[in-house]
Amino acid sequence: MDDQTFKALCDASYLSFNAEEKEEFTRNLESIIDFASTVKQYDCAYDETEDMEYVSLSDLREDVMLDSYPPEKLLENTEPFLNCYVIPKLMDN
Amino acid sequence: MELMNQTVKNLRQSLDRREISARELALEYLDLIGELNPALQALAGVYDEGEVLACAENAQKLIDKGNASALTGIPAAISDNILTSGRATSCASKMLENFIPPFDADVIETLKETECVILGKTVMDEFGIGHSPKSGAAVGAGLAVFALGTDTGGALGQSAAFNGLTGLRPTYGRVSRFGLASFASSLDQIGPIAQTAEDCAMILNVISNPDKRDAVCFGRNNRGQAEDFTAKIGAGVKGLKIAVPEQFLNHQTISEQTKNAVLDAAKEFENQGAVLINSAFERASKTEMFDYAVPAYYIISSAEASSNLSRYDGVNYGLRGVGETYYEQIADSRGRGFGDEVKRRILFGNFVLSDNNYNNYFKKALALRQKIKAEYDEIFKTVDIILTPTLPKISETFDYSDPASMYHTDICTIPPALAGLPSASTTCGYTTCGLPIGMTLTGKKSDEQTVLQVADCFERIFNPDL
Amino acid sequence: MKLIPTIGLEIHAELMTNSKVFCSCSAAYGGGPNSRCCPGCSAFPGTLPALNKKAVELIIKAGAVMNCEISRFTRWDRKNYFYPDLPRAYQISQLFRPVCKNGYVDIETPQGKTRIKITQIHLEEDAGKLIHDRSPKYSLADYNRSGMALIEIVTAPDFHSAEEACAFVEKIRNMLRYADICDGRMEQGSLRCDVNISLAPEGAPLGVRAEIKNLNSIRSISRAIEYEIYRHTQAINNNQPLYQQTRRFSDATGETEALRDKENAHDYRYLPDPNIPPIVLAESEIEAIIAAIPEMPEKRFARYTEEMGITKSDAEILLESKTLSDLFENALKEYDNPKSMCAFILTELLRRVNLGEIELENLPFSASDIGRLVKYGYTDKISRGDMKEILRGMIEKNKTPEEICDDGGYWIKEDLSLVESVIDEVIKNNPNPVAQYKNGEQKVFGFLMGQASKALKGKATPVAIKEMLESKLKG
Repeated sequence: MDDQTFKALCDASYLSFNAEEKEEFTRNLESIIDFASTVKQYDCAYDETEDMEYVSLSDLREDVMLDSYPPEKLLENTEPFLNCYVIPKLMDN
Repeated sequence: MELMNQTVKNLRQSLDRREISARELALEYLDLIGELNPALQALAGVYDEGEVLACAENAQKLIDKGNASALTGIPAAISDNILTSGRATSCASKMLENFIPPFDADVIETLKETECVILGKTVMDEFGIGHSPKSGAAVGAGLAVFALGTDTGGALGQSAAFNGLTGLRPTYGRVSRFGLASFASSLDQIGPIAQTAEDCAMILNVISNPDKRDAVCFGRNNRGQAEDFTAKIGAGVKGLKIAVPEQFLNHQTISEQTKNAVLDAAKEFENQGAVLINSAFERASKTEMFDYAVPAYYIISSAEASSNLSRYDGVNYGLRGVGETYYEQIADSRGRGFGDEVKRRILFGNFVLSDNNYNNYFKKALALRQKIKAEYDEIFKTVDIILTPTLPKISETFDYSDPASMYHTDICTIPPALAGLPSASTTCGYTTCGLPIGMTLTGKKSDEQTVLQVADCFERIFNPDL
Repeated sequence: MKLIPTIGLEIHAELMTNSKVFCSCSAAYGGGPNSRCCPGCSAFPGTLPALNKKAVELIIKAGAVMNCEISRFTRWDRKNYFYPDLPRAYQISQLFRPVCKNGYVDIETPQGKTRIKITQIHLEEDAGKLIHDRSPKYSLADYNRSGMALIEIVTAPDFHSAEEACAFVEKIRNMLRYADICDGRMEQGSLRCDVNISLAPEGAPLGVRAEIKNLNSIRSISRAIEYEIYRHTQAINNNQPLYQQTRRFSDATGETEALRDKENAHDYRYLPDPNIPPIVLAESEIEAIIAAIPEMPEKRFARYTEEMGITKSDAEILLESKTLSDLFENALKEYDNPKSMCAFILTELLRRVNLGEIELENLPFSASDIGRLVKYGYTDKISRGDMKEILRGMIEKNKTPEEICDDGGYWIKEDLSLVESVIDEVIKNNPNPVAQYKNGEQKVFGFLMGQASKALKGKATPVAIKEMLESKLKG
């Protein structure tokens, strides 16, 4: 696996690795991909209409509004500011 | 009365006959946990005595009023990826070490309603991703009468097999997944691990409610009625057609001991009047499916995991990383919060979903899953149950750094999981070193009754004491 | 060298549902930060999407009014990307199997009629809101909007001017409003538009494309397109490179600036959402939903002009806004006199709106209040000249027309004893016509009525005079 591919995967995953980790994870990934590549040899087609059991319109949730959670309860697992979740300032906005 | 390794059924009787109170029972288990868990580490979190006893008192009230259901007052353990309101639910991840859910999973709501006595949360692999399922350990060690675990590629059966117990993976969608922290949503399912198939049936009766919050949950049969999964317990196997895939039993991964134990079990079923059908797997594609199921599973489950685990960024909850920018902070949260195996799956999941690989890997795996379903449909035209080992061989050490070793643990349990079929694992023998050997009985979609019927039949012969 | 702009639009419209698309939280606009949230729309572990039926019905309606094919089989995909306004780090959307596709909408500009093709309309969820101005170091996330039901209308690149694009957006907005699909409040972001634009010489392959994100007024759409036409033209004429880019328009400068190059664009790693079963729609269900679509403006126009006798230009004004048209129709329920009603609404009521005294979307009185006011004026319960004054009172004092008339003494007083004595006098002074009337000569009634009215001018209503005269003549 080339560096560019590995970097793209890390970017997509929001994971970063130091040089040593990178080497190990690259090796692991190569071996997993190698193992998974066996699926290519089987000849079969995918039918997206038959993938999951489907439902009809009447099975869906009725449009009824219910009470939301009190913000304090939702925010218990973080340190909120002004009842909002906090992230580092985004520059592109 | 000896409490160790008691069944739900026996304890139910004792409680209902007032031979023991729910409080006494809970105290016995708390004592045992206090004594054994520090060394065993089968429970990751044990509930406070006060809380457990309060629940037991409530259970006693229900019993006294004659309103007890199958699990009222029965001490249980819950896998730590099933959310419990106000109680830590870590999914065995550093990411959620301090996470306190603000709501209960559907199955927890149900257990609380019936005053089932929850003792604590079991240890597990991080987010259920890994090769060493553990939810059965607490039950195996006698620290709980049963456990609710989760299953993506066969963990319930495998964990039962490791511990000499019975584990049931219900049909996909049978039990609500609401409140189960997702690993691979198209495969995740909650199920029981207990001493017997009959116990599993009793537990499934309680937890298989329809739940509008989980769109794939059907819960009831097509007439909208609750099903009694104990209906065929004790009915024997006379006339049932059981498929034994003999070619597959010669698969390189399956040990001689395991193969023989399963074949002996088959013979026993025959003695009991079942019809063994060997022809169901005659066509090569039928045996082959065990081989391609494993990589297909690995691809689908990793792809879904990569997406499901993206919400863990430490912003709303979970381990909060540090960093100057959004990317740095999130990458730090995830870098420190996730273990290596989880990271590998996320990277691999993103690999198979990326533009260049989607068709060759992910779509192919979806196609293979459809093919497996079709193979099963064909097999089930002529048989009622498929008999396989649960684990290809019984060993205490595997080399998990080699992904091909997946075959050595998961090859038997993954195909039914991919097809969403119900399967139960129960003990069918012991190795020369005395380790239990499990067999898996796979049934038609929604036919947990027959799966449990066959497992129960064997258990009554193999272990008449229970 | 003449450069032709080629423009495609992606319009995001928030659906008028009570609850969000995948959970039961309120879908109302605004609210304190994170006050309209639950573990589901805040992406807690263990939560699952429960699709809102109304949202599916509304997108089917949208497809129907835009002449789309409605798919019998439809399913949902996850679009994966990290951004703090998207707490699950994936958006549930539809890539491969949208509910609606292959539609069209006809627009009219001074240059003529054009048919705009709709590639697809799909259902998805909105993202939360980020707040950047409360702290120098941090951005804040509020998920009230997270999970609101949204449709995305994707057009073919069929536009060649800002004028056409704006005409289309206005038309779509109006259609969505008339069909009760979206309230179309661009200033609140319930309707937003992305513009894809490229320029090339006539007949040449399409040029390099820029995408302008999140335009939230018709004016910004127009200005952004005009600016892009200018920018692309300059670049092409001066042989400067153009890049495939996502850009943002600034209302302050009237210019666009690059957000990111497409080279670094996300690979969204779509996958079918395993938590949402596909839906198979029955023909009968689709038909029932389409049958329930409220009358579209074209139909109303025909009814107003042909059945009600309203002039075409007045009908156009009434129909420009669904709120106004609805007000008109509801007022007619009180008093079925379309021409008078239309006249009063278009002159008096709209004048107040144009003066900024009231907002059409937020009127301090009901349609029925207006209907009754017009009825009193045209049935001589009050003087027509006073209606204007009474309307002002209703606005200023927030009262019903009856209350204003009571308070201000606007009711025409009927002094019945005066009427009686005058009529008695008329009957006494005109014995011959009275005798003729009693012999069945109805036409003399008008003469007698005229005599009485002359004597009672301004002191009694014609209705009261007529009633009294009739009863006296019969007696």
